[in-house]
Amino acid sequence: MNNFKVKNPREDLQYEINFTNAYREAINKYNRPEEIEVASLKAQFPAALHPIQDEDLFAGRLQMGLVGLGIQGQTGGFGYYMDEEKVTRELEFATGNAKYREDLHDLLTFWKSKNTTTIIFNQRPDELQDIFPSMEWKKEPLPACPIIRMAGAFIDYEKLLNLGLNGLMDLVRNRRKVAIDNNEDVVIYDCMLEEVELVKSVCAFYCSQAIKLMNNTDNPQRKIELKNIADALLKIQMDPPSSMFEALQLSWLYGLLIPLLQHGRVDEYIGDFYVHDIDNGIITEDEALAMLQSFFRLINHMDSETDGRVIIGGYGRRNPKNADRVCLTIIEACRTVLEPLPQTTLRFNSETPKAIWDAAMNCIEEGRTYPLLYNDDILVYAIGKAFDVSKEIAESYMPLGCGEFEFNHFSFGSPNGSANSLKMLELAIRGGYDHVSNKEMGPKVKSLKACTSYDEFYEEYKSIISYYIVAQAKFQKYEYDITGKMHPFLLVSMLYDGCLESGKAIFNGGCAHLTGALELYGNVNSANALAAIKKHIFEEKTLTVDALVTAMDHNFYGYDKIRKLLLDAPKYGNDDDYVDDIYIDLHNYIAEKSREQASAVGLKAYLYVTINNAQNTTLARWVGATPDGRKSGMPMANANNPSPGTDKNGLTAMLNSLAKLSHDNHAGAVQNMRFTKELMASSREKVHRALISYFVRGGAQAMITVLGKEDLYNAIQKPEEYKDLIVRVGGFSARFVDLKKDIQQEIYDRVTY
Amino acid sequence: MTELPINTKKARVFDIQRFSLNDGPGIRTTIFFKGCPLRCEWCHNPESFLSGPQFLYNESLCVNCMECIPVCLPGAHDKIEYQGQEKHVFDHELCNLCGECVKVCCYEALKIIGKEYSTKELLDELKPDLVYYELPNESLERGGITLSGGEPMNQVDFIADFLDLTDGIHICMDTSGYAPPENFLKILPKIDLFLFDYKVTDPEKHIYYCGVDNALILSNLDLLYHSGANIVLRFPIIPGVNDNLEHFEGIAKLMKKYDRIEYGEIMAYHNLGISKIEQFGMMDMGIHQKSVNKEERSKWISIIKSYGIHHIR
Repeated sequence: MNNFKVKNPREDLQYEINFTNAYREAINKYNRPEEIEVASLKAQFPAALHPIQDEDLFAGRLQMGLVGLGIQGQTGGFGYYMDEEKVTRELEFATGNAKYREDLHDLLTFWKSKNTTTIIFNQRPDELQDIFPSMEWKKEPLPACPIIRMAGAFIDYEKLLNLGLNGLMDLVRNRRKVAIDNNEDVVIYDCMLEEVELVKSVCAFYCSQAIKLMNNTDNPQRKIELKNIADALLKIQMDPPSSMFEALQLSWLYGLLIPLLQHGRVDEYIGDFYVHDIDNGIITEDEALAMLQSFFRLINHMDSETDGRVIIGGYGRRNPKNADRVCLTIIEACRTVLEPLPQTTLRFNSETPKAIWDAAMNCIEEGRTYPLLYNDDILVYAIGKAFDVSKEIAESYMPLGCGEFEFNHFSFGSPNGSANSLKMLELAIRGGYDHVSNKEMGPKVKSLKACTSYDEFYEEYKSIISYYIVAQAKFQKYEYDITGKMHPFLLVSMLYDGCLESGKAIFNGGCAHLTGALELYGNVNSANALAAIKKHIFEEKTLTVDALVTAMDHNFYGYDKIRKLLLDAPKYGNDDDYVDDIYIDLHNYIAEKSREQASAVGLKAYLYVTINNAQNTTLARWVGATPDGRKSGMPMANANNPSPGTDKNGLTAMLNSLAKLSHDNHAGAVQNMRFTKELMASSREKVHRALISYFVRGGAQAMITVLGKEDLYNAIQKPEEYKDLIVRVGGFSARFVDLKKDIQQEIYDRVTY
Repeated sequence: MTELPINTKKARVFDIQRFSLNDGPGIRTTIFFKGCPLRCEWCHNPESFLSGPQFLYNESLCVNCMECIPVCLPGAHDKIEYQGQEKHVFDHELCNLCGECVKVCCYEALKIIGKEYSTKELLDELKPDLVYYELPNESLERGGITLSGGEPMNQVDFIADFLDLTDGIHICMDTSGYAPPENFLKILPKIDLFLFDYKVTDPEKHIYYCGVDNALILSNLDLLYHSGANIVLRFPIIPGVNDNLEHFEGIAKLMKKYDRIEYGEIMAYHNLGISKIEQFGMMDMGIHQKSVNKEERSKWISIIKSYGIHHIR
């Protein structure tokens, strides 16, 4: 859960108590979810907002409560939510009077069963009850678990900025008239209008705050800045924004009230304003940069590390020239705001101006990791095929959060399930028995011992994977359906294709292109484990199943010879076809099996993703020792990357392995690469060439980390995770982790920022 | 440890470095051959000295699991009490290279260095990276394969056979120059670029520091130069050994004499090889100092430039 970065966080839960009371009042008074949403949002805003801070050039800081209303989950919770753990802690440790504690108890018992997540999980269809016994994937060994949220709203910022708030209201009013003419229900439009009014009132709230702050400061520069904020907030209550400053202020504040974590194609929706203001001498380049830096810091204050995408570049932008011009300033903001967010994302292609590519490379070389790179020339075609959409739609692809693809304000593709293929392999080996929780799980299959060939075992394993994919797809559709009934999310709906037109909220038939994404973890380790099983059990017969399972049961303690045999078996990431082929086959099976589910459950697409976040670690905690030589509980490989320490053949070999993956049958695969600063400094051009080669040969994506001092320190402490670090000196052969500690220390001391 | 006879059908290699960036133009794969007639005191690849396999024990990766002890028949692995804890120790003298311990070490602290390859096996290792060799860099240089070591010329017959298979691939030969001249002539047409070492100017000191005389090296350089070979001269500079004016002047003279060579390159001393010396249980040969910093290296380059030599980097 995130910690909003605000100067003076609230010290008690009075806000949460007030919100609860307002919600209770609303459900007594209203029947329609739209009306309840409006009432709840009014209780939430501006109450949950925080003052403009001294360093802010725009208004809008937020601290979502432990109880509240949100869409994505990462901003506190999904739908009507309660953070039970933190509320309980407050009860146990808080001071406050008797009434306060009574209210807290009341809040806790009220929300226990009435929060959206619990309702959705508890009402899951009967056939899914046993397959998904729990949502506690962090605390229990689970081969698969639903994720309850609606992640990845990419609203139509262009529309918002073109129309302005009043224009948007006019659009809603016009639609309302049509509805009246057609004898349709108008509650949804009335509520939309009320929510836009709420946005305006938040503008007014911050406007008067800015004026007050302006009058209280003696700093002439700050006075001007606060006046700009106040002026802009006044203006955007009435008219569409006419400057870059107003545009950023409106887009930021509107998104904050949802609250949104994806910021869309910023270069596209800001580009025209930027060019207008720069070319007419209204702002200087420095001022534009300062605005974007402040915008970036505000994104960072939301503190949701796997989100906060700012997307730039690529095909399909309305105004590529203007957008490309502001791209450079956005990359400069990325380079200079040294915070984990936003996740600046560059979509590039053969038409990307060299200046943008070079700026991106410079930024990466400084160790920023951003921008994340997405290769349009591979992805537009591949995604078009995977999602079965036109080229035009495919060109609007947006990687959300961890890297799942959607289409800009056209589709919604919330990743609502996670699955652990390594846990499933563990089950397959033991015939459907989980030795960690000591119970049967999933379908009963033939155990590894009962199988007479590798292919037979692989089929058994695949039947477990299939079982969970089919169930996850059903859950995904169910989750959209029930969410549609409970939550209109009107601020999102108004700016999503199809909603106003149809008069329906986004998940209630408004968005015509609902897709689903299944987050798969453990594929690389599974492939490595399968390779070891194939080679040692079935082909070379150097290991019996009993010996393998006994060694695994003992977490290899006392079975090091077996573990070493397993560790030495082929590993993904070394350009070794033996295991790479197994990996690709597994990938394709999961991809196709997922894809088949779309029509079965009634979604436009259902695709799997292999992405970066912490689940490779948290899910792995409940997987015992595995036949890839991994010990019990140790992390699994992240996304489409070699398992830590198993890629030993250098960058080119790893790139060759990565490039074998097809991209036309999934919804996102993330590749991490890392280089030392010294290597980048001394061989920039060669590294660059290798990357280009990777992209030209089908590489779709890259997240490049240039390791600085801190990373080298970690490498000294945890050599097992840094076996790929190469020390480059002419005529010399060694890896960083092979050097003596004091020599490593010397290199560490030499690396400076 | 015993020297094994050299098998000309196969060569023993101690490392294959893909994505090699510092041994010739472009993106390369460097093959490090085992075996070297020189014994340079500063050598950073001491595992190259012997042509046979060698045992490596990397103490810093050892977790003291002691799994190696029961499988070691000669008793090279043992444990001692150290600061109240059991600590693994290894005696290189007792090791018979049976490799049983390597099979149980899950932490890669134990290895046998030196794997035999046939020409075809070696080529198979290189093939996947062909696409990277072909990428032109800014100066339109192509990458390729670098033969290094050790002294790759020690295995000239194997290399000649190998190079029959590598048509169209850019080949660098990283050599000390210490090999019979006819061997150089044998492979000359197949080598696109020689990375030729020039270590110490004074012949006496050369013997002292490198174990062999430099006359053969210099005559081979002359032979290659006049046979039209492309040559980069590489100058390892080790403080206290050859960072003196006499040697810098020697370098300048050589560069003037062979003014058609591509360029000269200073290879400043670094101490990364010290880790290996310990891991192989070798005698510390005395050069044991801090790595050279950039400023020092630039100073050397300006000294050489002051003699009117400009193609030095």
